Amino acid sequence: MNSTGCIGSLRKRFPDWNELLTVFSFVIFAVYSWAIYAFLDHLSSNLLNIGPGEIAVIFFFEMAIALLESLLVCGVILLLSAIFPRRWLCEGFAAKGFLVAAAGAAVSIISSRFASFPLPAAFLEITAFCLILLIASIILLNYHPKLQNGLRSLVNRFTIFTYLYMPLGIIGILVVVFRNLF
Amino acid sequence: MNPISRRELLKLLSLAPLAGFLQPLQNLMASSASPNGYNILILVFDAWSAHHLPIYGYPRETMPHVNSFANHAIVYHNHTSAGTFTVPGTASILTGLYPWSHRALQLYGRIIRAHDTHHMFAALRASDSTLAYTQNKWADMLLDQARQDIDTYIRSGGFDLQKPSYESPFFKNDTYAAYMSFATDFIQGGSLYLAPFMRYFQRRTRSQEETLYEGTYPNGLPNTITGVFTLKDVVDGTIHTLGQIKQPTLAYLHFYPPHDPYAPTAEFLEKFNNDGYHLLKKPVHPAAEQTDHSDPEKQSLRYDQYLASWDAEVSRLFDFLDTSGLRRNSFIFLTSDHGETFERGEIGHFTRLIFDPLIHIPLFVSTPGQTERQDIYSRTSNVDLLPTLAHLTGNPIPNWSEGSLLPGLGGVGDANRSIFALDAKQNSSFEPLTQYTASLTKGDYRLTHYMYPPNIQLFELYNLAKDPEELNNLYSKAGDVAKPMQDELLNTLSEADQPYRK
Repeated sequence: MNSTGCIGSLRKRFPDWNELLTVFSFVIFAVYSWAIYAFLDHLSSNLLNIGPGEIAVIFFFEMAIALLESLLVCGVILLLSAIFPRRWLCEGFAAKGFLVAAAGAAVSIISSRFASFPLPAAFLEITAFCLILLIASIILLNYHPKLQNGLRSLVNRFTIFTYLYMPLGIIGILVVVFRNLF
Repeated sequence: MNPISRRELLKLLSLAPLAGFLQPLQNLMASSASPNGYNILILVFDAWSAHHLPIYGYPRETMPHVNSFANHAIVYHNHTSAGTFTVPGTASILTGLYPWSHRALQLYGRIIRAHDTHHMFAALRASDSTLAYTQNKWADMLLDQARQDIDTYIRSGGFDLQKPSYESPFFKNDTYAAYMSFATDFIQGGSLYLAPFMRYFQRRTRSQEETLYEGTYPNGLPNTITGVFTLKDVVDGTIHTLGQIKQPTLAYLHFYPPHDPYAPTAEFLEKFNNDGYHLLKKPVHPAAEQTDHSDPEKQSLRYDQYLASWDAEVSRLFDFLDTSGLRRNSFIFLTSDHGETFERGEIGHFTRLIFDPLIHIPLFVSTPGQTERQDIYSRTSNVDLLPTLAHLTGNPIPNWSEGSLLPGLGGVGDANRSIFALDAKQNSSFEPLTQYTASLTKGDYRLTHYMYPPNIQLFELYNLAKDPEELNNLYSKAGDVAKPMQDELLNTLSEADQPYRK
């Protein structure tokens, strides 16, 4: 197999760029909304002793982290789509990737209630339930293309958040780098 | 002017090797900037109440090695912290300012911009090298503000078993922002996907460390919230650090023990059990938050066991100070940032209350070559440390400092001196003080003013000589004492608030 064929074969393992962007939009929406919520949660106490300039620096630190986290989460979903058979995740990536990201977020939010090591059986049961629900939903999507299209058009609505949040993340990275390089 | 000839140039060049001797000469001149050339070592034990030390009358032999240290030092019997928890207490030690001036009032508080260059490292910079270390992350945020005047800075997790993520050298200019975003927001929930993993791995690592040290610490390892540590590692790290200092150095070393969680070693876990000592039961105070519902008697016992564990370990540091000669060449200050309480519905120190166990802290100062103990009974405050350090090192006493020279170290005792303490953890640093507890101690009396929680406005007056347990509130009975003290306290706070009124 020549190199062009090899790259072509490799590309087939990954989803279409637009579908990837759709999933990324949802991940960005979830990660940034959560980070902003946490930031606002601490804002009233921060305002007692931190000036506006320092609060802005903390905000941009968090935005920078949120961008890196969004890229990492998307990268993991992309990797899963490359590893699993195409029909599992790569085909209809926008809808299925959204389900994976949503299930991950749900497990993550639930896990914050369990603050012990090793994790209690209740957490493992909830995680197993989410996983079964996710697999069942993906199977359902495979047999109902209309459902898949509907879900894709719903997830597409999140694209606007990419344009809102991405610049904040990029500014955040610039702020962190420039403040600490010099 | 005539140009330099080739011969003259060669003559000049022959003097070049002499330049090699200039650096040691400069060092010699620099060290002679300090008139006596002694080191200043400040050892701070966090949340260390004078009420639990036998030298101040406590019935349990909690810290025999500290006692031995104190037997060759100046013992201050009425030393007070200006704050009731780490941030205001430490900021007062570092700046020589009362909390209403430095405004580091809250848990994450920092010294206000107008005073952020007013600290002991700047005051002694001309004469001494400076070294700083604290295990307490909140005290570390205050040291971070003084970084440009600290020659050797040891990160707060430097001797811990776990290193906090925000301490990456990359964030050298933004430790505070990195800490606030990583440690408080990101890991504690700000990261949707990664926080649970990070918390899980943190707990797993901590659990592994706990298992590893189960034999030595049956109740769990000492922990600073950001990391776990062993008492031995902290003392070893300190000895190693002090072994490398060049005279004269100002070293500020702030240790987390005996701060909670109290983690006595196996050796001291049974100590004081059933020894017949019981806490005096006191009524719950109306301003008490009562967030800790554990048994105060049991917690006080654990605290004492932890003190004994820490004392046994820190004795190695005292031995090192003796054998290395550092004790002969240094003024060594052994003190705390605030006290600890087990009464009136409160356990620990994060409270609105101001009573003696919370603000009465130990202070022992070992002076070079001191062989006899000297006892000082005058009232002193931790704001006195900075002017005293400046005086001892021959530096000018900073005009910003609100303290006085410590008696026995250049100052004289004043029986009528006013000593203040303030807690205003829910008040903005940038607004006048409206939610606070403030106390004024003068002579035998302490007046305390409670201005929060919102439903409380209360004055209390105690005669500390006749009623050291502060049980008999004299405010309504002794108006002749209370009124002038009340006026002085309110006027002082009002003056301090002047810059913050719109």
